[in-house]
Amino acid sequence: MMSGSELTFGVAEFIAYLNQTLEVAYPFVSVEGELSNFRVSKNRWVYFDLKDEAESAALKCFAVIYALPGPLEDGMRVRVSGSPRLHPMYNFSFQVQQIVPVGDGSLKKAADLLRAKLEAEGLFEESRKRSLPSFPRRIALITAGQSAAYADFIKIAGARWGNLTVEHYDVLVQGDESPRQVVAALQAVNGSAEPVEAVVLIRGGGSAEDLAAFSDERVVRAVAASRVPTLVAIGHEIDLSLAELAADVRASTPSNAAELLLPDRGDERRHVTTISRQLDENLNTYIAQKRQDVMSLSKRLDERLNTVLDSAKERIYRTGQLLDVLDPHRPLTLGYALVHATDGLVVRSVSAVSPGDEIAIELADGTIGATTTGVKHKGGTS
Amino acid sequence: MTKRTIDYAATLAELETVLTKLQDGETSLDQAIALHKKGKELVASLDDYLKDADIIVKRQVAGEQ
Repeated sequence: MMSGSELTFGVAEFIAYLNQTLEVAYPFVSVEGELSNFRVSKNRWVYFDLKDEAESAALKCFAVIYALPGPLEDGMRVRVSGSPRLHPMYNFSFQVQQIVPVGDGSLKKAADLLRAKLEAEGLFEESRKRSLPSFPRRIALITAGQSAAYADFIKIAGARWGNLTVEHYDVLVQGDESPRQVVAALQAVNGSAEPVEAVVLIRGGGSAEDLAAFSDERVVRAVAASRVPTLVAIGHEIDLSLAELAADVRASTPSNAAELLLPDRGDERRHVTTISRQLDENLNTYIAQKRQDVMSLSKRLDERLNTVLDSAKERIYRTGQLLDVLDPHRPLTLGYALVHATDGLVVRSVSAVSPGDEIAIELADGTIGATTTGVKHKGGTS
Repeated sequence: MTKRTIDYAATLAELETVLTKLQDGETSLDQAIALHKKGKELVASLDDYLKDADIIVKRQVAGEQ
């Protein structure tokens, strides 16, 4: 402790005092420099030096692996954020809480390294890709609420389809805080009790640094892990983020995302109208066919009736002919005669008449009245 | 409103099934007329659904932002 007018500390006490001073002076600072001697120990602890371009100064840094944005390597320019600390055994180091690659070269390098790593894990495999719903009714949209990307998506979505509920997650789409917010939104979407049918993650164009959040390992993994099908459009057509590679479907722009996700109302109307017309045509064709069937049946009935009539006529004709042959008056034309008693009955035997009986003799052309003068049986008796 | 309650994809699929049944020629005239009527009702529902469709935006918060 202190003695006399000078401050005298014990070693541990001095280190603790110094750390307190550092904490007050630099609770959270960012330092930018080039990575050097980067190494990971036991897959948990990360050690590296941060150097100036002129390599005139080096800052020893320490971090846990979770602070890494993705694979890093020596030579990359990064911005580290955290606090300085003097360790009782390992001297001075910068305790890093966050590391972000900076500058186009470093960002590209970081993205290339991460891409190779995630590709090896199969996160970008085509076989993982799922299709989007044909007519989504509820979707999640993750983007900045004030962005042109948001406005474009909503405008195109409304023009194309409508009938859509958009669960909007307003997130930062650039900067160090962006990945955490995007991941939190993706987790909220997937953790919802009423899952949406698709999740759309969009952002407009920008510099490589502006778009870096969408190549952040946490974001890429969250996109790949999403149970809800994902549609991602980041930047312009030429920009390609790792989140887009991990997505089920990639769109070239936010407007294109709305076009890919939603059907066109006009096309659908035309489709429904076509089916409606086909319904009418099919029923009309069906009825015409049935009418044709009835006509055909009617014709067959007519034909059948005519056949029956012809057959009946033929039978009548033949019967008539037979009747003619059997007509008892027919022999009268040959000179035979029929004898009728007064009661009109034909006299079939001489026994039926007696002398004096009136009889009528019927010939072919008329009847002769006569009186029986005598009756003679065959064989001579009278 | 009917528009909000139908499932567009399911209704469209039902309409296409009705059309297929009507086309297969195995139905009786009564069935064909009933199918046509059903089809026209589905067309009306789909037409209604496609009219004046709006987007509803609901703001969501994902934990601490």
